[in-house]
Amino acid sequence: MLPFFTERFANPSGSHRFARDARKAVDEARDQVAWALGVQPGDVVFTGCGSESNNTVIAGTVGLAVCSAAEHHAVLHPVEARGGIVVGVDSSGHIRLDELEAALGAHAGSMGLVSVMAVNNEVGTVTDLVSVSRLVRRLAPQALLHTDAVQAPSWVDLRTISPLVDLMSFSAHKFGGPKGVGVLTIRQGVKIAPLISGGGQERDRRSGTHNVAGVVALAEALIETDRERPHELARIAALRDRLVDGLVGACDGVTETVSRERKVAGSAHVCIEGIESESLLFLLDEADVCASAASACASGAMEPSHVLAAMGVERSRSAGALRLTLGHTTTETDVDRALDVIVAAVRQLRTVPVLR
Amino acid sequence: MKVMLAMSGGVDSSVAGALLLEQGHHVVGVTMKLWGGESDTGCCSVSDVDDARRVAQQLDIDHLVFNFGDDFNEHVVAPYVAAHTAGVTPNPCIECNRHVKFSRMLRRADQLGFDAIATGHHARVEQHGDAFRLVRGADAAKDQSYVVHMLDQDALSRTLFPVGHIDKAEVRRRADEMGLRTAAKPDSQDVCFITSTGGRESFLGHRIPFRRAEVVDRAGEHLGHVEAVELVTIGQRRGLGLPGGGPKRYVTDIDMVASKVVVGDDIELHDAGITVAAVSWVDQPESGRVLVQCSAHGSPRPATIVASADDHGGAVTEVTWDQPERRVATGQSVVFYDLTDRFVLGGGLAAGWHHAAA
Repeated sequence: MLPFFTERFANPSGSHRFARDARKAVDEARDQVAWALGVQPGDVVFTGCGSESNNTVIAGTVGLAVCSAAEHHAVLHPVEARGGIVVGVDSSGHIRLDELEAALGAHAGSMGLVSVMAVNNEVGTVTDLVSVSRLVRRLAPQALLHTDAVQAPSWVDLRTISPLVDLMSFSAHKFGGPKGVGVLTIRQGVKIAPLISGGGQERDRRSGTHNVAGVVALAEALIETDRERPHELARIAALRDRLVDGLVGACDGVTETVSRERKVAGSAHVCIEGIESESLLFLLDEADVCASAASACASGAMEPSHVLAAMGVERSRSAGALRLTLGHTTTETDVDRALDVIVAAVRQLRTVPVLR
Repeated sequence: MKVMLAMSGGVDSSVAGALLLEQGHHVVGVTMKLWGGESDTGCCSVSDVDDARRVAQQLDIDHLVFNFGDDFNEHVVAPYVAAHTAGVTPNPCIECNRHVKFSRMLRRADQLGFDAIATGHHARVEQHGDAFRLVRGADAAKDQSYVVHMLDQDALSRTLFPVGHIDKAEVRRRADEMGLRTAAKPDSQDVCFITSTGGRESFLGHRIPFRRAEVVDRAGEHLGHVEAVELVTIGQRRGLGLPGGGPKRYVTDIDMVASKVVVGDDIELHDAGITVAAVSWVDQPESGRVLVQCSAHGSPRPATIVASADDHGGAVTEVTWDQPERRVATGQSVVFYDLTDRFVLGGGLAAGWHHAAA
């Protein structure tokens, strides 16, 4: 990545030799990404982030749009703004297939886009895209199927997903790449109106000068993630189990939000009774344990989770949500230290009851 | 001490942070996210949070945002709407201090191992022996002891007001000297959830149906009508649909049941005393001669108060003015000061008035 900030600085859209050098790097990155995702190089569009990829799909397609209530806001908000249908999720956060079927059946002719995330960013639930795809193809064959796969690359072989859908969104920083670069895959023959037009880069599907260093780094990170995944999955799942089992064993009133067989290996999400997430996160942060509860709004305040609300988790439980993510750098020592810190923090917080 | 500083994004709390650091405290800045709806300014717009965060960065202290939106809706917004429906004129900023800002901050501070909380209010806490006293701020024009009058011994023992000892000009001078970005930021004045464009009318209009009411004089004679009795306040003179040119007439009473607004002259608007409910005391219940203040920047008036024996849960205090005073709208905070006009004794909510002898 670094040479593209210094000696290989050229704009890949130029016509001189330095530009060609940069162009070659982008083309090679495109080949790598296509290989890891199981799509054609021509399907790969480099974007600025996962949100841009999602927004491009929703703004660039026509007809009625449908998504699940547990989608990331980068899907949910534009679908709602476009007057789309939001389908409910079950208590695991999985889209309700019967509701999706009903929605597709009721609007078969006008259905333009179905967007269902591959892996939920808050609770880690894996979507059964085989069933979703089957429903969409059977009931609304003209509709495009998109998956926000931003959370998937570390845990799921994308080659098993890409044949099921027409469009996929990714973001480099979710698999070890830099922030500020993403991918949208568009299956050959599918037409999406661009969100950004101008110079005609990315075959007119996304104008704007390439973030060459970011693109190169994204491809490297994706290849590395794809290579490591088979070894890492079991290791990380064991660490996650150690973490969650440790928490449930050490503190009363800790429940797993989604059962482990329905979610990815690196996701630990629990609800802790009798505490407030904000307070817990402060104590964890003080002890250098970085965690999250839901998603932050523009002011930086924690917003009540729309995902947990959609799953039917009562506010009293979701108020004590804790979301921990494990990844390729996580070790057993990290997990044991996190356990010590979290258990001590929960005990401290419970000495002063929450006002309710 | 480890101090949790409430940072609104204004100049007072910015300088409060700097002063606490000078005094050697370990300070963590907290901005409370209270209102999620439309807002011009106040405590929780994104730009105010940005200001608070940038000041914290400059002071090199940690900064957090706490979301107390649920508490704010439950304890401030919903009662505000309900009060207008009942013909009462609430003071939401005081209810916010009572139920959200101080109570929630103190509880968080306890949970998280802080020794004290601090805010940028212009008021002072003094320790006299075992007792803590709440004192007017050094800057008489900016004094905010009225809006924090509900703090009791437990709260005062753990609350710091670092700028209460200096005047506003000095606060701004200090901010300017340190190059704080909030040095010239205007003071916030208004209720954070009421916008300057829509006002109270738009806010309430989206939440409750307005009822038309007849405007009558004391004898019951019809004079006109108002479209929204919920927006009428005791003492109001304009917007009553009365013909101009006559004697000045003010709202002297609001009958929500009969949908009637009673107007009268200035003399009819004066009372011998008021009943104050939901009284809290800084320390012990007090009776006797005091000064009584009925609005944030109103002038304190001499009176005699008699506290009811029961000072727990809905305590009532009767106020008898030395001279008849202008009527206080039900729901307004009534705060008692000692005769030196220095110490807050306690306060509550206006619940009724005693007519002056005709």
